[in-house]
Amino acid sequence: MVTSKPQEKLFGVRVETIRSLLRVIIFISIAGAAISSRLFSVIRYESIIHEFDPWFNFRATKYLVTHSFYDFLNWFDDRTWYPLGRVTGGTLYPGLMVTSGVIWHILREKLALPVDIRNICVMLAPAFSGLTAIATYFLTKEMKDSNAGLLAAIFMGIAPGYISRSVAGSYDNEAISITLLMATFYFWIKAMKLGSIYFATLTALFYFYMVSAWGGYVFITNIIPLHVFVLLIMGRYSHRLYTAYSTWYALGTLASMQIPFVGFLPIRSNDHMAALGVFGLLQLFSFGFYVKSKVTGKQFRNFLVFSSIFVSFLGVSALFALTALGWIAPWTGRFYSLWDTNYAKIHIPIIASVSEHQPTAWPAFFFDTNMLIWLFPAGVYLCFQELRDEHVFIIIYSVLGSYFAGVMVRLMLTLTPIICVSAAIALSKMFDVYMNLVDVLKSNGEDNSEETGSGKKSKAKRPSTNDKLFSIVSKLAVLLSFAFYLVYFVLHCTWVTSNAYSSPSVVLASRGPDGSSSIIDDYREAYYWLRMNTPEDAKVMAWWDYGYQIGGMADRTTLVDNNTWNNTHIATVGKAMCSSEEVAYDILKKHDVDYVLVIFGGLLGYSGDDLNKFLWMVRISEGIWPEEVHERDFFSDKGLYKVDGEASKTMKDSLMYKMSYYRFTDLFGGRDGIDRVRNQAIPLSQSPKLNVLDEAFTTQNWLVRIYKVKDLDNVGRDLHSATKFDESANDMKRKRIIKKPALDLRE
Amino acid sequence: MLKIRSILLALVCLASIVSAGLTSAELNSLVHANGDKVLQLTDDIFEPILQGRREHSIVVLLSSSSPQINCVLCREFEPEFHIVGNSWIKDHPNGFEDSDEEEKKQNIYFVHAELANSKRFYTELQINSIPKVLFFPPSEAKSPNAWKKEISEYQFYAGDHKRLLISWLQQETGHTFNIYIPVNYSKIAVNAVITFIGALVVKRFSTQVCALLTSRLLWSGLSIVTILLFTSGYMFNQIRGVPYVLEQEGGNVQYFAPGQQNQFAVETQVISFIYGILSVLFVVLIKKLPEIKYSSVRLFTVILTSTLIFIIFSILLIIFGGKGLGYPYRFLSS
Repeated sequence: MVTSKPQEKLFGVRVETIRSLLRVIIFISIAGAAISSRLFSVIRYESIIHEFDPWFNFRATKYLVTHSFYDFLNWFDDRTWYPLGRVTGGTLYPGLMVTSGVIWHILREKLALPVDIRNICVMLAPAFSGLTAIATYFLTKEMKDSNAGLLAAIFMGIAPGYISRSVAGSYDNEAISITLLMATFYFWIKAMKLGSIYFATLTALFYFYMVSAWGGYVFITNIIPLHVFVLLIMGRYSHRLYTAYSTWYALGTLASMQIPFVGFLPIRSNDHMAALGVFGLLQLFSFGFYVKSKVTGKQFRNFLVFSSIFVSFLGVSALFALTALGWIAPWTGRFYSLWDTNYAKIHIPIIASVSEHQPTAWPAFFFDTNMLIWLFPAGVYLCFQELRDEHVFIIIYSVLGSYFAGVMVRLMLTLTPIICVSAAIALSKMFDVYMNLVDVLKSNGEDNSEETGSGKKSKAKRPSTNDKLFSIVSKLAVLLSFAFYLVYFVLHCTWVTSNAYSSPSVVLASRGPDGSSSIIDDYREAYYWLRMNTPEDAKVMAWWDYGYQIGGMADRTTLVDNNTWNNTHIATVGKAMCSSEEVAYDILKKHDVDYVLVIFGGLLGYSGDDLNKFLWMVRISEGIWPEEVHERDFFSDKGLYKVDGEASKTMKDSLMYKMSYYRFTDLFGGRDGIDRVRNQAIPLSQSPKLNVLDEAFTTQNWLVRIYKVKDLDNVGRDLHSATKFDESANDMKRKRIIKKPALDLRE
Repeated sequence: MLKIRSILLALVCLASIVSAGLTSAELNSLVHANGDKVLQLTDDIFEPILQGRREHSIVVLLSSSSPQINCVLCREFEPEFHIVGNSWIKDHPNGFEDSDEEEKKQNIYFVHAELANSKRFYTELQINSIPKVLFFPPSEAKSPNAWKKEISEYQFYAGDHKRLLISWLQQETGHTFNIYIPVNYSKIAVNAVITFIGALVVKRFSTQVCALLTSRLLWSGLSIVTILLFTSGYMFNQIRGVPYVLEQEGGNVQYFAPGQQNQFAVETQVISFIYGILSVLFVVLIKKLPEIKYSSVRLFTVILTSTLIFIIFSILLIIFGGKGLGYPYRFLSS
């Protein structure tokens, strides 16, 4: 706001120095706030890796620090996707693991601080969130000024939309990639403004880092060309733009091709074609400007018409020809599902089944950004008022980001930064106007001054005391109300972070009947049991959600995991789960399965269990075997999803149903069992019998149940009659006494 | 049209008393009495159509488009069913009877039973869930209720409904089906006219159009409206096809769906309006009000705007809190 003259001094120190000092202190506090608000889960539970994907990243990081970097890039993992295996080194984004590996090495070798790699992984996301705040500061500073920058940094530090993906323990690609996203955008704006090769190279460098870290890099690959394209349409071609874009595109593309997983995609997949097209267009523009400077206006017009027709014809036909020849890969399914929102529902149930890929309802936006969401359009409006080249970027990002976030919940993450930036622009504009007390103070000190110094148009009528009072009151009213909103914003963010985003989901919180809180640790109990009690090469079949956790915690071979690269294999597991014992046994034996693991929340009231995901298993396997699996068969006669006495026969015969409710009614002492998730009674008379599996282990709260697949019968009977024979022989056998744990799941 | 239809209906009902069950010829005349070749089933005619002996087969779609029931699959499936039905009649306008083929082929008639019009039919069949597609094969049975027994039911799968329905019908009847998606001529005509007029306007007022296209106001308005729509769940409505509001029994209307991951279409309108008003007030606060010269007027307007922001923000919080997430913060209690 007020640009200070270099001579201005306060207490004998230059004002500029005080400003930078204050700025540093503010940065440190922002980083402190950002990091500490992400530590709820570490304090409440322990330093633990969260959820699903982070477990794989953690396992990969461990592999990286125990092997060499080249081993890591060539890693063929034979412990997942049995019997196919996975070319892990070539199918992951190594940025995250390499980052924590480097930090680990530096701490260990340079600073002599041997920190456990797990702690680095847990704390990586909060640490990077501090850096994100700083990158956001610089980006916003380019848009308006450093005041707006500081506000944006604060917002970015505590906005729940970003915290949701970066709490301590959520060791995922997004943890570092939002930082890289903001940094890349900052350097791009800088490069475009200055036409500097230096900054364009930095943009390319950070783009490369981003490519190495997250598949979402495609967002940058498309938004920068779009920005350039819109600027071209607006007639804002300049040599600065040309220099910046050409440098970034050439270096960035070459660099991104060094990542094994990306490889030749940047020149073959249609996702990247926009960047190439704009690159070509810029060359044409540049050539056009050159020609224009050499020939007369009329000649140039003819030249323009002819060449534009020729070039667009050439371009379109080349695109078609290359696609037809198969040189350009068809657009990927996830990309389609962003534009044609019905595509995924019809063609790829596995994408539709992931809850992160669901559309976003409005409460989620408000939940994740609170008041920023209504400051956001105001900020965009202010950008339109000024409309410098960099403001065009904000506008494009805002519109596209809103669309993407509306289509997919997980893309809230890419929208949050721009909401923070534009809300900060709006809010700092408000502070500029209402915190400016210059006219009030000036007229106070120098009564004879003719004009008010703030550059306002108010005609030089000497302000009376009344005017001053009015002015102060109106300013105070606005400032106080917004100070109140900001305090509320902080409260909201803390509440959301603490209540919604700080659960590791590996460990659950529970509340006893007397109100005391305790922890449900069934997952780790089960995984540890697997690790200790099964042979090292045992194959465990579970739904793909748990693949990474089994690999990471139990260290056993899995059939499918969260890297859903092979839909057929997942459908095979789904089919085994939803078909009858005989069919399933065949599948289990063909895949060498030793143990089957299911998550059952019926006793605890845990709604994220396998029976609630069961329909997706059915749908996915129906996609591959439409003749053998029918979704309709799993509904009761009335068309409802039932597990009680009214459940359909197919449902009751399915392996999943049997594994979930096997011996469940025993808990209820001769009465019907009550499933607390679905609030349905499991009739005692219909308690399922298992012939091809043996119950191997059930955790304390029945959350995880592990079954051992029986071997083929020694004397060649089918397992059905063998079980029957055993039952009659062992009638005297003591029944296992099972006790119902007295626990309540806390929401 | 309606009159012919009702006369025909009366006639065939009369006939049905004598012969119990409509013949193909009678059905044919009923079918052709209407533009849409899928018969609408009402409580008056389902018995004559289905009872007794028949040489043709009948495919019935049971669905409902009423907002109370909010059957998403019904809405999705209904037009496809009509396309299949109309395509069949287009291929065989008069059935197989005048074709001189050796083997006697059965005709197929497509019937649509909307829940609101055929409540008795639903009770007779004891339908608990919709949508259903039922296939009634030709029958020799004379007893009035025989039709309830010889039914086969279509299984709904994910995918292209037309193709799935056709392959099921092919299995049931052995006929081959073609699909003719009706060309919407009026839409084409409207589009053509609009394009033509648009081109004329552009040609005639090229400078004004240019000014409009480069107008900052237009683009800022467009972008901001888009942003407001997307951030208030417009895409959610589009993808999920949620109802506008939920009408409960007893005439109560529920405007806000409970739960963070759920909403009705009306919520998008309410919320985008609230966000829009808040943004506008905020822009007025920082752009327009400081330019007011008279400080007393300025004070008044500033206080008024701030109060409005406060009140609307409170309303937003009340609505958000009402979604039932245990959200603890309110500015004003409702």
